[in-house]
Amino acid sequence: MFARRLSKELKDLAMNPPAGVEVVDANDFKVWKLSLAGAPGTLYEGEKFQLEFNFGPNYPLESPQVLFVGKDVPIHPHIYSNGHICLDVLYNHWSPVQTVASICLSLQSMLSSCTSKERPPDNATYIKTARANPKHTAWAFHDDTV
Amino acid sequence: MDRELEVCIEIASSDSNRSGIESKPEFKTVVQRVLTGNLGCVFGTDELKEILVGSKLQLQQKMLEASDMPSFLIELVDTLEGILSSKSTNIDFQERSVSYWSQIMEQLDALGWEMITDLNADLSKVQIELSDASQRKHMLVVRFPQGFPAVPPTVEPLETPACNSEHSSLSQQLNSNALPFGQQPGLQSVIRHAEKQLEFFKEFWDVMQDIDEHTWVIDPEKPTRADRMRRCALGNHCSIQMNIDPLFPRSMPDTRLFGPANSIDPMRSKLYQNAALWDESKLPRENLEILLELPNGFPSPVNVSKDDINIECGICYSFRFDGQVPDQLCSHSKCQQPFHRVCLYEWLRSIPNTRQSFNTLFGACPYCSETITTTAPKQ
Repeated sequence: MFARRLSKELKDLAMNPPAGVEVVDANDFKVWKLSLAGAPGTLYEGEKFQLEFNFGPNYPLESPQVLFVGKDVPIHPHIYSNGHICLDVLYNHWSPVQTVASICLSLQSMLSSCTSKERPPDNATYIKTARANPKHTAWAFHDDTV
Repeated sequence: MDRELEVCIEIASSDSNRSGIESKPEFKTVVQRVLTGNLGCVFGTDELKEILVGSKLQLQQKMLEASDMPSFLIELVDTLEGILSSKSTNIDFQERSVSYWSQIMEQLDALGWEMITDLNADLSKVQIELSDASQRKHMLVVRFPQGFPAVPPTVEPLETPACNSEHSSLSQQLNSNALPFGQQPGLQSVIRHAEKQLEFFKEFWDVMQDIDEHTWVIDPEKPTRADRMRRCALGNHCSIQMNIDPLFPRSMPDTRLFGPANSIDPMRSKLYQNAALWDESKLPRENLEILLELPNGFPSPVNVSKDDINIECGICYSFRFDGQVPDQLCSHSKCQQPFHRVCLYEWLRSIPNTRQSFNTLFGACPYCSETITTTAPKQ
């Protein structure tokens, strides 16, 4: 149903990519890999992270599964070391207005507004109990500052 | 002859003793074992099995002679081509009488070859091109059955609009598929009948052609000669749908306006207030421009680009989805984001704070969060 939408998004990403975002691999409409570069002037300047988007058949009615993959997961109070991201628009604040590009921008701004590089306080327990799909986690969005 | 037949091969090995019908997921249909020989097995569809049913022994012999599977497959293709081409010649030329050929040729000669645009090798299908008084091309297809001339030919009627007025015996006669072949045999009477139809509907097609040339037709995507309905863009997410009566094409058609209520309400009142201005000496498109007070006329391919008219759905990002165009608009005047009914309905249904009353959903527009309503799409 929404292959058309994803192909438009992909075309748009190729035409005017958000700053620091690069499509690494998008051969089908199931899994896309993108790279996200830390913005200059922030704590993450010079770092590059790999993002994985998994689209379900109901995209964009349902949010994609988004996580950081690879060995470099940004050290950030809202990002767990298994790549899971605590960001409301990825879960219960998702709406079809969001796009892959807008998610990347949200992540970019989340990284940029960070003041101290640290893992979430409950990281150790979370990564032991969390399931592979972050959408199965019951998230609590409590901190709007970072 | 181009025909695609799928084949799956299994090279013989010690444990290749499976049998029976197997379903291989990569195949479109259920796969049957067609042939077993010393080199291995050939699987194929029912269609392939049927074609090869008489040649099994011959093919097994060929497999014995072949050095490996690839060279056998070349033999298999040769055999298939042989079988299929002999079948087609059998049907085409041997089962028909001499009078079949002579009669058809006589009729085509009488008709004149310049009208014939396509002809099958066995003369069973003739495509004739006719032009009406406005130089529009129309296609007529005549099929001659095997038993011709004893069995009369069948004529695929011209594409003409359906007339709903039952009083007009003329239109009924013109619309009917029962052509007067019985009384006056011959292609010429078919052509005469078709020409009558072309003359009768000329006015209707003139009106439709004018609409197609001077407006952005949103629906149907590719209008045919039979389509009486047109939905034309008016700009600003509005459109007008009109249903032209083929018998009285210049009279005021049934119209329906689509778009956000605050834009189409003034248009609707203009349409009613100015209805007396309708002038049948003008084309309906010109009349509508006067009634709707469109000083620059309808937006047309000449003055507006396609992207301004085909505003895509805010959810699936496409314009046409399942034949539908995005006609549900956010009523908030600053938003006016269009959606397909099915996309909006599915989205509103999936979020918890949507309310439902009978089949109407009340929820938040995904773009501006103002209340938006939609009804369940027709199944």
